[in-house]
Amino acid sequence: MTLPSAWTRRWHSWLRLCIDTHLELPVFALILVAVIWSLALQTIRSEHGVALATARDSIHELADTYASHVTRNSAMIEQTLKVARYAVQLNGAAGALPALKAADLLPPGLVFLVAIFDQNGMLVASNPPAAERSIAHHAYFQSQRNRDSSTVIVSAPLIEKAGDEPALHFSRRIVDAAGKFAGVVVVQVEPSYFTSDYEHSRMGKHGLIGLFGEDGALRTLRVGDRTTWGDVRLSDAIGTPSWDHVERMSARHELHGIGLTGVVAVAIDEQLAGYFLNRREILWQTGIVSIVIVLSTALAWLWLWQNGQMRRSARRLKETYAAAAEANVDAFYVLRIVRDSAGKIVDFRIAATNSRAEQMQNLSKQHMLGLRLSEMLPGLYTNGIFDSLVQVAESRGTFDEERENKDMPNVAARWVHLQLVGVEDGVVAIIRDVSERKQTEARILHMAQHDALTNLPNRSLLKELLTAAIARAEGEDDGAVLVGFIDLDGFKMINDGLGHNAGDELLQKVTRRMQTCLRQHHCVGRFGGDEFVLVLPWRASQLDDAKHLLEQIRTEIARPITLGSQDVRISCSIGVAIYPEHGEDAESLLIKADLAMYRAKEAGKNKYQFYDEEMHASILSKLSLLEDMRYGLDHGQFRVLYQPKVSLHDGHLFGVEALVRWHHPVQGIISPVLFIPLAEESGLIVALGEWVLRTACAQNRAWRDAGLAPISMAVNVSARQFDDTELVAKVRQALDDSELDASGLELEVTESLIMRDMAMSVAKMHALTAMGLSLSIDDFGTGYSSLSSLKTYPVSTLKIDKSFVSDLSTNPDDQAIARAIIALAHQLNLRVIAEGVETQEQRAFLVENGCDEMQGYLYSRPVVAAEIQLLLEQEGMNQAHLFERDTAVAPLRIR
Amino acid sequence: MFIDKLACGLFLITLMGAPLARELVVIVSAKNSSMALRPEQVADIFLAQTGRFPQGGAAVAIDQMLGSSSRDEFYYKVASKSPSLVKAYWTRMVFTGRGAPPREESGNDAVRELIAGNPEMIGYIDRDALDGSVKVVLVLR
Repeated sequence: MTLPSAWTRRWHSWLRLCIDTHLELPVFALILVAVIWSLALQTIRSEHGVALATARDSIHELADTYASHVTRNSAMIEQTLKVARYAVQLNGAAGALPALKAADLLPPGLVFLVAIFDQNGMLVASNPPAAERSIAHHAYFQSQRNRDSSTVIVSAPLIEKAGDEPALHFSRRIVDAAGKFAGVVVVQVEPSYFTSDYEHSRMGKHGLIGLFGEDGALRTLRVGDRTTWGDVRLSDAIGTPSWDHVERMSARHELHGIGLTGVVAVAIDEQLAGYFLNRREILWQTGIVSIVIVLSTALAWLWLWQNGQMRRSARRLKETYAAAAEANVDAFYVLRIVRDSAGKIVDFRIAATNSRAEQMQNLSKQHMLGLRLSEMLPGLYTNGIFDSLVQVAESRGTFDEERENKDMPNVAARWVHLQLVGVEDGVVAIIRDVSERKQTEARILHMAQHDALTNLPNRSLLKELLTAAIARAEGEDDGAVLVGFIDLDGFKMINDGLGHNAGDELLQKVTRRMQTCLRQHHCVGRFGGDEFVLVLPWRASQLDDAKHLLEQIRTEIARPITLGSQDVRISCSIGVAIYPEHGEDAESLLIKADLAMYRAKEAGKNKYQFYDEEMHASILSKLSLLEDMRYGLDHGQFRVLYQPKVSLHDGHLFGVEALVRWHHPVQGIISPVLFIPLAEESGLIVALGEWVLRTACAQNRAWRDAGLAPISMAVNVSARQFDDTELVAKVRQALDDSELDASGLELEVTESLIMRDMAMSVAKMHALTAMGLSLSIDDFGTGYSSLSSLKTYPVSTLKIDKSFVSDLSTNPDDQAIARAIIALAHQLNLRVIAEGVETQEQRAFLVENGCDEMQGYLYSRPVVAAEIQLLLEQEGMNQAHLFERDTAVAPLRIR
Repeated sequence: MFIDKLACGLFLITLMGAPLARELVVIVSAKNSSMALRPEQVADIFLAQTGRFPQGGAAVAIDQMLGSSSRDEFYYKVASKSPSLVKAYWTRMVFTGRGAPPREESGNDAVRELIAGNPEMIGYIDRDALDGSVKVVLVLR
């Protein structure tokens, strides 16, 4: 930066500052006031000069007049003295005055006293007549007597006797014919005579007029209205006398010939009174004008300043607003009202927009500004926007709305958030593209309401759809809704056997098959797992047609499905509940359809089943039984009975099987056939099984503690129990708690239980046998069997199901199966036990075919622990009576 | 001023207190054509403010002697002036050269006789001293 440019810049900024009205105005006012004052002061100064000059002129004039008056009077007095002296010489002292009076040569007696004194100073005659007196003691008389001069002597004011007015004595010497002193002729006049020239109009209240003698002593003096004489010197009367301190302007005149000096003085203040008045007026006026200027300037300045402030803040606001609007992600439109001639709002005009609006509309700002809204939005008057705009504009309110964009063909956004704010003479419209959010919301909503795998409505949406369908049907005369609960039969097997991916694929294919069967107003949803729900609005009078559809779905699903390279077959069970026949609301219809579906499963699967009230009753009794069972488990209503197992080789009692029994306080003994499946279904079997396990272990330990021969305790393990991940730990815990040796415990599992997940099952069985306990396979031969796998199981015993045993004596097929099982087991080095042995024939067949062990009523029904103790004690005493006592026991069937 | 007024008042009281209230008459020669004069017109002539009668003829005032009671009363009645005010007035008039006091005649008769023979003259006398040689232009009560 060079010096000159810096200087220029400073100059410019200074200039700008000056131009700024804030500074300009006060400076201007200041200059104005200064000019006015300087003019006023100059005027005052010049007026002062003029007034002084006028006063001076006036005083000189006064002095001149005064001098001429004094001179003339002195001359007149002198003349009188001369005339009187002459008359004395002619007529003698006594006759002089009457002669003069007769000739009218005497001055008026009112003012002047003319007197003649003899050489001794005694009065001879006077006009007007006066009392006799002497003037011999007066200095002027002595002067006149002693010197030979014809001059007039003017005395100082003299008082002849007390009470008299003072008088000035003008005297002249009289000589007789011989030239000798013969007396004096005197003219007496009051001192005030020489000050009667005083004019109030010109000299004011403090004017001064007077005569002084050559000696400087006062002859007469008037100050204002007071006439004085005495000890005042001429010098005292000039300037500012000490007696009244009034500053005066004076002029004096020396009157030659009579030895007097006339003085005229005026009080400066009085003379300048007019000037002072004027000056005061000028000062006042100037002051008032100054104050008016200052005040009005201050007001104007304040007004300007405020105006400036307002303008500045308005500008700042505008800039801020513009910046904010420009940077905003929302599109801004400032719309001005367009009215028709009647003042009605007919349209809006775009007054301002921001860049975002340009992008959104795909129009340039120049193009948009001034555009009528109706030109930009073809549907302005029909889509409700115009009404909202008018409402907002008139109420100055706000309006918010999210709307699908059908109004602005130029705008790509599918959804916009429209906000309107009423302002003066217009509306600000703020538009935001919310398509993305809307899409996300829709996606989330879809996800929340649909199953991800099949894209079918999920439970919550389906319930809504069902509720809506019910509401529709309610409004129709013939309305009905079928709710179909579909469960795939054996889906778990496929899912477990072929893997989850195959299961998922299966579900998708089944979904598609179902969808092909459905009509437009039907819908199907997935409730999770392999459960599907159909919602089928129908005519109540044509429900028979619905059966065709259900049958169609069933057969469609039952066709072979190719999963990967493998064809599988799957069936479904469908339970159907009907609105309004079976329920009025979605929840109860779903429950009833579910019940019907269960009934379909029970009735053999691969079929559809309509709900009926009997199902409801059965489920109610089931529920109540389940509740009782929970209560009973907590309150000791369950007991464990033990059924002895004996060797077929020597009849030796080597173990027992623990069997649970329930003594219901009201219904009495309840069969395990009733409550075990229910417990299994509800999951209560886990708790119940654990209780049995612990009770059985504790019992076996008690027997051993009682000194009885050690036997093995067999406990059944249900599917749910086996699936329980805690099973191994729980068994360990039961053994530890009862301090029973693991060899004293045997767990019985079914083959179908193992088959569900072979690898897991085998691993679990190994974990159990690792503890030292033994495993047996229960109900062998009733379900699927994988003989190749059998050898890999860590089991020690196979248990021939009682269904083979019961007809063993008569049914050759059962005999063949029993034989085969025994042979198979022995080939695999497993022991074989037959259960449900009730007759000697059955026992004989088993012994004959090499079966190792048996249990059943033939030997003993399940009994309480105390009886087992008795049996063991008896066996210890007498083993030989075994068979005899066996036959004596009454065979009591429990199944 | 106050002193003057006081003096006037006192003077008036003295006059009122006189045992016989005297009536002064302003007279001119019987040959004079003047009819009646107002007090201020009389005062103007006696104080040398004018030298003519209102009708236009020259006027010469004749005073009673200085110190006479009729003179003092006269000035009081026509000009509301005490003797000292009259004196001050004439002092100023004489000093500034604007005029001289009227000629004095001693006594009513002398005044009357003088005026009777001179139509330009005007004077004042006691009513008692009236006769046909003069005529009254103003009665001062």
